[in-house]
Amino acid sequence: MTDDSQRFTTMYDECRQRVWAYVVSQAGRQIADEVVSETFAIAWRRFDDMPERALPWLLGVARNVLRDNIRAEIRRESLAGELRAWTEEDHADQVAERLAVMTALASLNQDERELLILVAWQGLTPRDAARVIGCSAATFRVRLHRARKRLVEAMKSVPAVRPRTRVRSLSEEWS
Amino acid sequence: MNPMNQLRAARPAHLDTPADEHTRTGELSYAMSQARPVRTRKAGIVRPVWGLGLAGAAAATAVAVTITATGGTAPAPSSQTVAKDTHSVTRLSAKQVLLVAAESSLKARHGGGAYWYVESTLGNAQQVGTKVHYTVNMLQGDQKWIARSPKQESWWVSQNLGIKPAPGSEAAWKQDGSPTKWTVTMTKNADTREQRVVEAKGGKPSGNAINVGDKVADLAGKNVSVAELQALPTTAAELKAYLLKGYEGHGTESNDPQDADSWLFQVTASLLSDMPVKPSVRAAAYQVLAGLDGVRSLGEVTDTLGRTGQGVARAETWSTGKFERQLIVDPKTGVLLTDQFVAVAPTGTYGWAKPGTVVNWTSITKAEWTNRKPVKP
Repeated sequence: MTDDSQRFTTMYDECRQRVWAYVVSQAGRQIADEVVSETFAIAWRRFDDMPERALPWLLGVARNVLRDNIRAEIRRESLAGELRAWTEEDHADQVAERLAVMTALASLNQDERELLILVAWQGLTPRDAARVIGCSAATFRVRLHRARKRLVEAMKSVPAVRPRTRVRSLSEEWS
Repeated sequence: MNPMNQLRAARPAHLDTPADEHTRTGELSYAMSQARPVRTRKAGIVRPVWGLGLAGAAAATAVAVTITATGGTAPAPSSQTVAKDTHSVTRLSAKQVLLVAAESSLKARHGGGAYWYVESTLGNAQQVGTKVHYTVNMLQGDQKWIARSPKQESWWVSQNLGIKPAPGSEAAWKQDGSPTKWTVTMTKNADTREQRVVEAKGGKPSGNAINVGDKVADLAGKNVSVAELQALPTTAAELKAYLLKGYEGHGTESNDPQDADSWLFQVTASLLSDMPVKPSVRAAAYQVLAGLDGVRSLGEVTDTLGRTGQGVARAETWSTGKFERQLIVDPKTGVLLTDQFVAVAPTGTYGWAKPGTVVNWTSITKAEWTNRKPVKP
């Protein structure tokens, strides 16, 4: 193994999971592997250009791959499946609050959702997140503020979902 | 609770599903099989490529096809026979086509003159359109003067020849309002793409000196002079051995593994493309190609300039999908008319191209020794 391939493998092991998670949150599990695979192929070709902090750069590449390599309908379909899963899957485990957040998040538009996810789920600083999206940090902050407001509004308008409560027995009820 | 904290807490657990070992191995080996551009080696000789977007580094190595004969050479009797054969039902095998081209190459005269002059037309297909999608061809004209004397400069001049709707796309172009400007996505390198507005009208020529000292071309990963090109071995076995000395298990433009056959196909084709070598060396080069596996015959085909020849082709997989590199040869003269890339199962940048679309080509229209000096723009 050459030095480069060793360094690349280390970088891959550090970042792969987070790139995959980002792509899943943007376009669903169905096409995530394909996009991730292409992203790291590009990363290898441009390994010399890669900045020290690889993750924001990689997410930016993944974003372009998603936009350029995957047809819009396929992207939409795959994402729709993912959003359904966020709100429908594992009902038993869903607590009301979580369900309300996820339903609200799913109801936002793609851009708003992406900003929130980069910060909340990827843990990026506004500066790094701005780099992924290709805007200035100042612009990002303004857009993030707006997206946050939209999320709060959407959470309010989500019909209250009652947490599943244990069904009390009659004896308890009347005791 | 702060909505961002709520959101953080709601992160779906499945986002942490790690890749299994099979996926990991597959992704790593796919990534590292990609060609990586090497920046320094041929800095002085790599020509700027306008509109050639096939795929980053790979496009930079795209092999042009060449002409051996200097015009006016009478076809050899044996080639006339071959020409008749092409009209019969039996299609020549790729090997036969290449061996005939080899034989015909020997009929070209040894040329004299101060410069080896090559003129070519290059094209690159792009998908455009707002109301309807259709294909336009972006055209470029190149001229190259390679000085025989190491004391003279060698020059390369290139001109944007403008953009035309591809054959078969005229109706869609009219439906789109017959525009003379389009927005296209240009591939600058492996993954950097930019939107650019391009116009139907061409541009002014521009050019520069291309020699580095007495070195005028890159052959088998090494810069060579005219003297070295003129001294190349004239038998297939010796030429092959000479070229393979440059083979180190990886591509000429990258450090990634490339098998010897595929490497040799590329390097030999580049020698045939536009290098000033003796007719006997060209013949040997064709014989080297004829000895390679995986080359199929296309029968009689027409290039984008409307010239007819015999086609041979080899499958290639690039980052933008599966393509075929097709060489169109005139068997009567051994002239290599055109080198083109045809979509087979394209993805990404070329995802729009239907199988069979010629996405990128180089057609050589002149290759001869001359005393005319470079026309510098």
